[in-house]
Amino acid sequence: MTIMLETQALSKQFLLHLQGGISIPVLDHVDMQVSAGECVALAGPSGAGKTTLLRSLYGNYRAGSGAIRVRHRGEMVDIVTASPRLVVEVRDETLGYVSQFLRVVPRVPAVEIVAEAARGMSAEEATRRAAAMLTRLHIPTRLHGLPPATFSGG
Amino acid sequence: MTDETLLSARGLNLRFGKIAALVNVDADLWPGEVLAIVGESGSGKTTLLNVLSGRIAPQSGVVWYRAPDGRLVDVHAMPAPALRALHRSDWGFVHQNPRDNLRMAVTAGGNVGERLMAQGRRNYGSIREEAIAWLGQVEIDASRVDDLPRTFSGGMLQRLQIARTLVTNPRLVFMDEPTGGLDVSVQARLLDLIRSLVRRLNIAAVLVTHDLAVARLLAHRIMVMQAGCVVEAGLTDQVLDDPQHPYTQLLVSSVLTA
Repeated sequence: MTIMLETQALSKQFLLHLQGGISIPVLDHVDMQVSAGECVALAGPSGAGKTTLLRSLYGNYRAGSGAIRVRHRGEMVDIVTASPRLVVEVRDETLGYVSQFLRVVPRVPAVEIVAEAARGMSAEEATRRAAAMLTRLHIPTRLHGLPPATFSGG
Repeated sequence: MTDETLLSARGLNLRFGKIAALVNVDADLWPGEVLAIVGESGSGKTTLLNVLSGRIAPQSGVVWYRAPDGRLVDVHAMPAPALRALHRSDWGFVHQNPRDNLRMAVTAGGNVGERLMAQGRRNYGSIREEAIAWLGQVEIDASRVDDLPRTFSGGMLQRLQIARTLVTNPRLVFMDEPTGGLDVSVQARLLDLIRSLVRRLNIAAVLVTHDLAVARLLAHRIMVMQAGCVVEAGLTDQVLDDPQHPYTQLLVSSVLTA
């Protein structure tokens, strides 16, 4: 099967300059592979490094060493060494990230936030598709015009 | 993804007496990209914006701009009229204080139309039509087209300045604290407006801000300045969520959250 994502000897530590320069090692030579169509869960106790690994895969945290390769436009791109512009492009087209906390401009309606992520279509089509996706995720139509800050966590 | 930069600066240095405002600063901007320059007051971020836009000359270093015909031009070696022409059409500059850019004795519509007339447009009817369309884009009601800017609120003045700046379809916009000095209630709306306009019109922008939340919402990439030096640069969310430099760590950890 096609490998979509893989890491090789991925290591990451946090160096806290304001806390006397202490260093906290979090990831130590992580090797993993994810193939097309596969769903992989990262399980472990709190503090084991699950979120750090996930954020590193997305380029939100900077890896200390090792490689993170993502299949983008058919080629493997190393997120660790890619230019910021290339990471932006990979995120636009290839990588998605579902966060526990949604960071958005306050007071913008939910449907507009979803529509903004659409590419290569008219504004009307984007809004229609966004509304359809929200409905599919069981967010009723009457809430589409409200900003997400008014929603429950789920 | 094009590899050709729209704007490139190399080795910029500028001192004001004893104060180092820019120390060996390099910067690159690609078409359609938003770059934020952050740092505390006096770190050199506004000076950098002024040097990149040709408003202040550096003591050493060079700023290259790729003209629409693909040629690279040295911004600080251009004749003054050519630089003014660039500022009138291909570039825009959004000031923190809209009064620095707007003409307060001219109507709202006149302020927007003036940039078109400066480009040689003479058809009054079409200029007025376009001015009204742009007021609509920045959510100012068409009925205010003949009102003087002094009758506008701070947030409206800022939106009027943005309409005046964008009416010539610039490829590159410089913004100096565009949401500074506004009520938070107005800020959010203006940020959303700037974000959607920049995205829809595929404008490249250099944005100076001391507000890290503004940088996070608007910018693809970020440069952190301290005492005239760029101490850290990269993807906006990576720099803010995983800062490497001691000063960036201090900056990020100093933000108050409501």
